Amino acid sequence: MANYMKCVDGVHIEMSDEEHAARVAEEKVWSDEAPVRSFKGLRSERNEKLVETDFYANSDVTMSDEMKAYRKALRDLPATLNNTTVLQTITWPEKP
Amino acid sequence: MSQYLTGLNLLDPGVKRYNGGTSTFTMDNNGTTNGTLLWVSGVAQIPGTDYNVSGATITTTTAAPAGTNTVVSLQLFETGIVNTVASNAVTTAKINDDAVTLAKMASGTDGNIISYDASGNPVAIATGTSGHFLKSQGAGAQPVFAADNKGAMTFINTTDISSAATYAFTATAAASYDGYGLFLQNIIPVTDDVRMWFRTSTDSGSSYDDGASDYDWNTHNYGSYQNDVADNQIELVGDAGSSPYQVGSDTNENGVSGWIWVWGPHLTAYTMITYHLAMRPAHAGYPLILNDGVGSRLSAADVDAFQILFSSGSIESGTITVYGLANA
Repeated sequence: MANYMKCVDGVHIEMSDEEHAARVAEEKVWSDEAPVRSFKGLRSERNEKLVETDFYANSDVTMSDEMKAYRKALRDLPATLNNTTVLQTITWPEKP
Repeated sequence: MSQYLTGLNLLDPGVKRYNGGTSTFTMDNNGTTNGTLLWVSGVAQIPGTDYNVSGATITTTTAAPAGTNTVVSLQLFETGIVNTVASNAVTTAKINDDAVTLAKMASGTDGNIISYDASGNPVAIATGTSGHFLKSQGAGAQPVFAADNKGAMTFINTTDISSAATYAFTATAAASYDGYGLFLQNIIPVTDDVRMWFRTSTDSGSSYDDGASDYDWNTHNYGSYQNDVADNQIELVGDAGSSPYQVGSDTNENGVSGWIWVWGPHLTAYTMITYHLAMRPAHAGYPLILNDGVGSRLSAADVDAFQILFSSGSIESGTITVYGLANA
C-alpha cells in the first residue's frame, strides 16, 4: 500500500516511509484517545449548561422540581455513557 | 563601416604625350585603368581591353606605332586610397536617425535593462527577483527592480488540495514578507469527526514541531472557549465541546473555511497566529461554529514553514490561498 500523500506548496508528493509511519502513529493515538477527548468535551459542555441555570439555586429563588431534575440529569449524563456511546450524537436533557 | 574610398585628388594637368614604338608608358602619377583615358594615333583605346594601368605604368595590348607623340594619356584622378575608419571617429552626425537597429547593439544579459549612470553613460540594470517591478529611486539614481507593494498584501500561491494527509506552505521569504495570510476554502476531511491542526517548522518543512509542550492556544466559539497551554499543535477548529462539534466529512458539511494569520514568523520569537474559521459540525442539529482563536509556539525560533492537517485522515479536498504581508 502506498504511503500517504502530502501537499507541499501546491505539489502533491508521497510521504517518506518515516513520515508515513509517524502520521499513522499519530492517527492511532488520536483514535485511542477519542473517548477521553469526548468525555472531556462532554463535561465542558455539560458544565456550561449547568452554569446557564445556576441562578435558580440562589437563595432568593425557588427552583422547580423540573429544573432540579434537569440539572441532576446533566450531572448524571456522563455516567450514562460509555466509550462507544460518548462518540455518538449526545441526547441532552431537555431544559424545562 | 570598416573601409571607404578616399584620396581622389584631381590632377592638373593630367595630359601626357608619349612617343610610339613601345607598349609601356609611364605617367607622372599613379592611376587606375578606368581612371585613365588613352589615345593612340588619335584613336581612343578601350580601358581593360586595349590597355591596363598599374601604378604609374600604362601597358597596351599591342605596341603603339612608332612616331613622336603618337600616344596621349589623360589621367583625371590619382589612384583611390582604400583606408579604414579611425577608432572612435564616427560622429553622431554621421549616423542617420533610426539607423541603429537592435542587432547592432552589443549583447547583454537576459532580463537586464539599460539606464544611465551619474556620468550619463549607459549602464545595465540587473534583472530583479521574479515578480518585482522597476522602481524609480528619484533623480540622480538608477532605477532598481524591487517589490512595489510595501505593506501590501501580495499573492504568493494557491493550492487545490486533493487527498493529502497534510498541507504545507514552505515558500516563506523573510526578505519580502513580515507575515502571511492563509485563506481556506472548504477544507474537507476524509474522516468524520476530526479537528484541524496547525504546526510550524524551523527547517523549511523537513519536520514540523509536534512535541507535547510546543504550542498553546485559546479559541472561542458559540459562546464558549477551549484552550490548552501545552499541546502538540494549535487546534484550529473541532475542539468545541463534545464530538459532534468536530469537523465532518458528510455531504453538505463543506469542511472548514476562513483565514489564518501568521505574524512575524521570521522573528526569533514565539511565533503567533490568529484565526477566524467557520465550519458546520459533524452531526446534524448542531449549530454552525465560528472559531476565533489565537495560538503560539512555546519556544522562540525563526519559523519558515507551516503545516495544516486534520487530527486523523487526509484532507479530501479544498483550496488554500496564501498572501504575504510585504515588508513595510
